[in-house]
Amino acid sequence: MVRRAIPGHGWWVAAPNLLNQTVVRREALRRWLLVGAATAVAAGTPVALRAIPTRVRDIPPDQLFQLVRGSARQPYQGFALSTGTAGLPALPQLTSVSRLLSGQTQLRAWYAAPDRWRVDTLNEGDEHGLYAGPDGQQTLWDYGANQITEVTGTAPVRLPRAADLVPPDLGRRLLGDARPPTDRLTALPAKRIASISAPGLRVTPSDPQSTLGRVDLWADPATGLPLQVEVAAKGVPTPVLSTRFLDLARTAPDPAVLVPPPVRTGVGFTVTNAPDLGGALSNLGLGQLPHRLAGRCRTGGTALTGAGQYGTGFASFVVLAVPRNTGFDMMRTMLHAGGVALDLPRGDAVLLATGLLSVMGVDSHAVRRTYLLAGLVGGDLLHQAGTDLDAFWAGRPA
Amino acid sequence: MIRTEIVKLLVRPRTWITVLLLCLLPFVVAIFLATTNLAPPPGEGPAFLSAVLRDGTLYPAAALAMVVPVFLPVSVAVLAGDSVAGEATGGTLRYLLVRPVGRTRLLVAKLVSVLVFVLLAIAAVIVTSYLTGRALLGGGQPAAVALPGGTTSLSGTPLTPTDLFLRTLASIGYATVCMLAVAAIALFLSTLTDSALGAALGALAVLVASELLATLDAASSVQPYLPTRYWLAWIDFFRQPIFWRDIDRGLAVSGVYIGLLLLASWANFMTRDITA
Repeated sequence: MVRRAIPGHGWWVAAPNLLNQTVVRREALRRWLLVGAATAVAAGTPVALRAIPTRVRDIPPDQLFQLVRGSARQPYQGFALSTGTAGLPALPQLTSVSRLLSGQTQLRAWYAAPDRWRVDTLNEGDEHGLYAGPDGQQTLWDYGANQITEVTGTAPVRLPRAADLVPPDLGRRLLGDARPPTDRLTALPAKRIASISAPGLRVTPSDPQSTLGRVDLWADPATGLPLQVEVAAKGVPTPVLSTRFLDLARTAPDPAVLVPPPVRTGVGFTVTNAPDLGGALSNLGLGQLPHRLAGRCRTGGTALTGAGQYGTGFASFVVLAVPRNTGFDMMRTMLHAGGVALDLPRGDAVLLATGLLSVMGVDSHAVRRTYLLAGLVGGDLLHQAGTDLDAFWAGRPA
Repeated sequence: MIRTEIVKLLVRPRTWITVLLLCLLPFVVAIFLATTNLAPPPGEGPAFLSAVLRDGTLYPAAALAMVVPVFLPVSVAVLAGDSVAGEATGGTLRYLLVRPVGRTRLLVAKLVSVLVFVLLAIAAVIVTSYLTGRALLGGGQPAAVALPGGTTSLSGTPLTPTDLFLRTLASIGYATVCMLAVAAIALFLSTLTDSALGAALGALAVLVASELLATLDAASSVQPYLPTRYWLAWIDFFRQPIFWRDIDRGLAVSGVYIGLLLLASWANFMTRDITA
């Protein structure tokens, strides 16, 4: 109990620490208010920055389409994150491909010109680099394998790789497959991506055989550089594949960054001639592929015997011969991942449809060869292609 | 006051036992690697561990990757959790404050002693793992015919010994800031309770929850603000060019946690009733 005189009143207060505690409480309140204010500023700053409205001039969709397609000469350097939710199982020998569509990929890109660029794929404590040189030479760096691989010449056919997921590359590639006005172009609300207000564009494929529902793309209005690309299957609201820049500078990179790691003692080094890959496939005795499958003409890799592309635009698919043991492993993995076993007249097949991507393994008993078919097409079309392939080999010598 | 706290830290046997245990793990791992010649494949196990068999000079970085995710934060949480609550539990906090020492000063002294512990622990891990790496795993590649050899960065370019030293030093600095954020969480909880164990466990609960949310796709909107989100960003010092994005964000996030939680610790401790 504390007794205090109140000035001017002349009497004692017999309240327990009343005035004293009030001062203490007021001090405490002031301190906690300071903590609250600092917390509010810290928590509110990112929210406020995100809420800044985008200011961008309207660009008609067809104009933005052309702008994007003509942006290949725009240099840039940045960091992009790609997220795939295709749910594709890790297929033997194709793990790196299935990982691109079923996980996150961190990409660091430096781009000076179409023939001078570098893309690094970052992982925790690991890194893969791909360097493109002016003479068509490409250099691969694999930290885990401690290996430098030089690839000279242009491969007639290749598997998808992480560098394909950098927004400008994926955006231009997808728009290259679009056929407006058959494929519908519509404008999307602008977004702020890597601190750039970017107008959006939606491409809706018209081919009923394609599983691709839409391609959404946001690009820099000044240069047409794609900043974010989303790919969604038909009837699915969420994208199956999304790639966007988190940081971007629209400037040319330092030339020193584009120089591949030097070859030196203690680091593995190999040279591969890309056209030889096609020759190697031919030498495997894989046999010619038919000119048509499922009603689609062969359009890519026509000089090759073991691989080919069929159809054009968004509804195309690829056929790739694989070693039989690998093929069996792939088909088994696909079955475990929910694939459907199919009986062909002279072979077996497993079809795995993930909504956007369909993959099919076909083993022809007639010629004892195994093929992998894949594309952004429906399972029915791929099933038909597998049946045609099986029929093509019927009666041919193994 | 600060000197007293540092001396108290250094004369406590448990400080040195903790440091010893932190150094022991990389030492044991190095023995296994050296005797079996079997490193985990890239992408599996702690960062850089896949590369140490061909270059032992990278072992300090691998050792840092071993202790930073779990062992170092646990020891920091225990130490910082004990800093104020431990005095209360032992009944010494009241006597400590009888001295002409401000509570703010006491808090700062406690934080500085945790900082000294973190630096001491990381330095001990780095030095012992460097010696272990050189002795058991080899000292890197010999000089090349055309180009000088040396440690290979994650991007494939060679790092000179000076480069490697500076980048390791930068990694230590970064890891120290991250651990200070852990210390700030534990110190704040330590001002809330008289139980040192409760404060340490509370801090660990925060870290475990953060690690869990960091792996959850559904929590992607909050992931950039989690205290553990950028803990391993020091690895980016070993890329060429250095990848500053996550390092910058890690420093900023840790800085905010340190600032806010120290402010909260101060706000609470200044008016707290000292009963023990």
